[in-house]
Amino acid sequence: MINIENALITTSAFGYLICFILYCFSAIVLQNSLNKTCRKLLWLSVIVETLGIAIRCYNAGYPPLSNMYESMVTFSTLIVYLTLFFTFNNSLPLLEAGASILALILLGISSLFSHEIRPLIPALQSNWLYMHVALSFIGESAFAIAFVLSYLYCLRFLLLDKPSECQSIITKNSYNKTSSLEKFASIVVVYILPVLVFIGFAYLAYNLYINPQPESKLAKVVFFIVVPSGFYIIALLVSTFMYKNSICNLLVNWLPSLEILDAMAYKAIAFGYPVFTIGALIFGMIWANKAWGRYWGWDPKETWALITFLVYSVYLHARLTKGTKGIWNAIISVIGFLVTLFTLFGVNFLLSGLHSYG
Amino acid sequence: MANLVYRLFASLRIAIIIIIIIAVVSVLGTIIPQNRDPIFYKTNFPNSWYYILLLDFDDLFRSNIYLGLLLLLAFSTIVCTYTRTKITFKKFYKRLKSVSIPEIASYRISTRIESTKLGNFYQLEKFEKLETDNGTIYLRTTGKLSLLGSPLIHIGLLFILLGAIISHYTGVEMAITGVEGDKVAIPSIEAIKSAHRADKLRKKVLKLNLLYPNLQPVFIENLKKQIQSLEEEYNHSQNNPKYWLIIKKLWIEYYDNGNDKKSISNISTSSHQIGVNPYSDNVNQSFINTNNSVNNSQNFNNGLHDTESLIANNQSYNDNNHNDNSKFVKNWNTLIEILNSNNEIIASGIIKVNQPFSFDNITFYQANWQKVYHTINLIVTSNPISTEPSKLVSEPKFLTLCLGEEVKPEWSSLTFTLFDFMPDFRIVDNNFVSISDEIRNPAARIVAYNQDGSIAGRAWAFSAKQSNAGHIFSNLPYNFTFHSAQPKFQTGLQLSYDPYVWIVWLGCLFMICGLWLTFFIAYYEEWIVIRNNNLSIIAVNGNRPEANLKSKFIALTQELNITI
Repeated sequence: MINIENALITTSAFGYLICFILYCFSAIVLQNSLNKTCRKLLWLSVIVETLGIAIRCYNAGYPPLSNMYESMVTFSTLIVYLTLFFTFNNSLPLLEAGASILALILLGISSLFSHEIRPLIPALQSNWLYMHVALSFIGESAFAIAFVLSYLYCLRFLLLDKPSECQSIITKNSYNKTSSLEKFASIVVVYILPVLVFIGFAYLAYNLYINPQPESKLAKVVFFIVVPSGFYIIALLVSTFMYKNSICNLLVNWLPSLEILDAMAYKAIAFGYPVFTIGALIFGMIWANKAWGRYWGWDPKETWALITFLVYSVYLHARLTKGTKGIWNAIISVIGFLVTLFTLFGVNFLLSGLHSYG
Repeated sequence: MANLVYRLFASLRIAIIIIIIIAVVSVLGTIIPQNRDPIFYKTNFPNSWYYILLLDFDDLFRSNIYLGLLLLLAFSTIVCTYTRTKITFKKFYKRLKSVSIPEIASYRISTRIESTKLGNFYQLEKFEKLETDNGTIYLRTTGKLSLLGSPLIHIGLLFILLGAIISHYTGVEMAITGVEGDKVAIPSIEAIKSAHRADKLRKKVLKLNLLYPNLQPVFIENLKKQIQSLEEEYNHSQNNPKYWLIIKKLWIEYYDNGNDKKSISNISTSSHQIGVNPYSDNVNQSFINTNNSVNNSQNFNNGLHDTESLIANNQSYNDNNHNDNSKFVKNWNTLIEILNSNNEIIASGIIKVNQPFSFDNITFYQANWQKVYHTINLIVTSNPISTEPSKLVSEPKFLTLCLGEEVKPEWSSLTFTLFDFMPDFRIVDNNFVSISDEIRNPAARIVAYNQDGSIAGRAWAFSAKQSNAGHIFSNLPYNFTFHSAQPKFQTGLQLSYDPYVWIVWLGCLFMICGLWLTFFIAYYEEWIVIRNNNLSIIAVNGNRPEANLKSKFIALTQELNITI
């Protein structure tokens, strides 16, 4: 049964990879029919992954939220489902492509952890596990969608910023009057961030090459993480530099306006923020009080969950402040997701605490 | 001045800045190791230790800076909530009276239409009406409760902060450890607080000594007197406790092929010298743990606790021993009894992880579980490289040592004491530590005394495998090799007293309701303005994205039977 589960999840990973490539291709050739096929394939991939998860649940006897492997697989599924529901009425291929690559990378990361099904350790035997962890991941999935949308916002903001290079498509708009600081911030998000992420993954692969671990096979890291993220970054950088005009045209064809992107990112955060706050913070507090005798102990995971909450609180409050432009909202959203990722991975790997199991 | 401060804190920008500062400072709190000894910072942060200690960043989340930031946030929240609640209530109760026609005309989702095209919209239900000089305003609202969401979130946050501050001053935590049969004194809440204060002052003294080496000794002496007084208070309560807690039974439940199976729990029942008279021997086992309660609980959660089986009478170690990985711990159980000062049982219960036990406003939690080894068996041989070789008649000799107890065997003039035993010995950062409680690489530290009480020498005892590999350290006439050890379960309980925690839960309830109302309940205002100039306005406003407002607008026009 475990083999079937693994086979299904690996198949879905392949599906996400193909989806990503096809989404990019459909954007280049401007094929609507191809785009629809991609969407069907994405549905199929996530359903296959769900089947794998269901088999694991059946075998384990509990929902797949008890360790890093299960959490990552669940997280990737939730991201894809939320994206598909989010774009149910209005398809947004580049968001779906972003969700596919995120899901693929998360599956790649999950492959580094033990797949073994073990009974729940005493600390996790509580109904609060499902409410706390499941809601946290649903909230974080919404943040992931907001991240992709905010990234696309920065991309569009940056590339459509130069009228001389995109004369055919640029209309009069407000973002012609951008400050150099805004431009710099968007360059950091669009170019430097993916490169840093890639360097991070390459470093992880190098570390695994030097110190091989039984579960952390180099091939898995290379296949699931380095190749897709590298492919994505190289494609992005090359196409952006070489085919600026074409990219601008593509963006106009495939991306909604900045206002709509901003509104969509807000919608995702407006869904994720309350779910995350209730699940990760409040239910976490209740469970901690029941299990450890105190509702808050400044454990690194707790503190970083609080920081995540604070960053998104800044986002929501900044939107209420008059004069805050969309680009800064997008950048806060990107920072928020990076903080979310650190809460998920960084705390477990770099800081010791009570949440080391996941 | 007061007005200026009010306006400053009513600003959303100031609130954002405070939140950002709190987030950044919180990051520091996860980077700088917390609640270590002051000397740790001097050793590990040679360039910044002075500032870490000076700013209390060694206990950042309880430092004045952090508490100050939280107070600023609370103040800003109060002012902002007060300011906005006034607007919200006006909107909630007197929406029509607070609006003007130009305001409605400025809404993004609006249109102008000839009044004659509106037809008989007067028949539509739930429209409120207001006559003004410029025309008549009609309003229909849905999801009004959503307006209360934001104030509720902020009031909830304030309640949580308030509860946390009250808990900080009124609540206490204490760690209790003990083996089966131990009788642990539960001091009064005030005494536990005194011990906490003593711990804080002790740390302060260490910190001051490092920060200000030339500080007047009188000041330090005063602090030391305070510590002494607090310790006396605690000790008095320890010796005359209101309650006693008896650790009646400890056992582990295991998973067994999907079925629950109770293990044989008590590995201390047979052939043990420790704990034979539990009600009198191990009275003062408890210890106050002011800052390390989290660390104490860590064993539970970070996997240091192996889920390996522990079967009674089968714990003797040998070099070929492999741990049984086939069983997984389902739960650690502690059966306790509470006795009053007359030794009468007044309560009893089983404590498990996630299943605490409450008594007299005090709650006990299963926070830690480990094996301890108080008794070990050693093989003794003569040490050929000793300056004074031993005169053992026959080799090897066997020696049983208990932790901290002196033993004088017949075959030697020396008295031996087991100073320390580490079942899984490692050297980490020049410290001797045990990385687990399983006997994987045992190491015992032995001290020998002469008849006059002076130290004769020290020795280490390792496993036979290590000894055969040449790892023998002894400046005594004897060499020691570890043979076996009898483990006992040791439970770690967390005692918690927090009578005002309900304020925090009330805050959480407010927050949940507020979040639900704000983000999941749609608020719409549907406006129809019949102006005197025969040009009417239809507009929709609310707290949803523009696309939703547009849908609502289309629905309204359909209801009005007009085409835009």
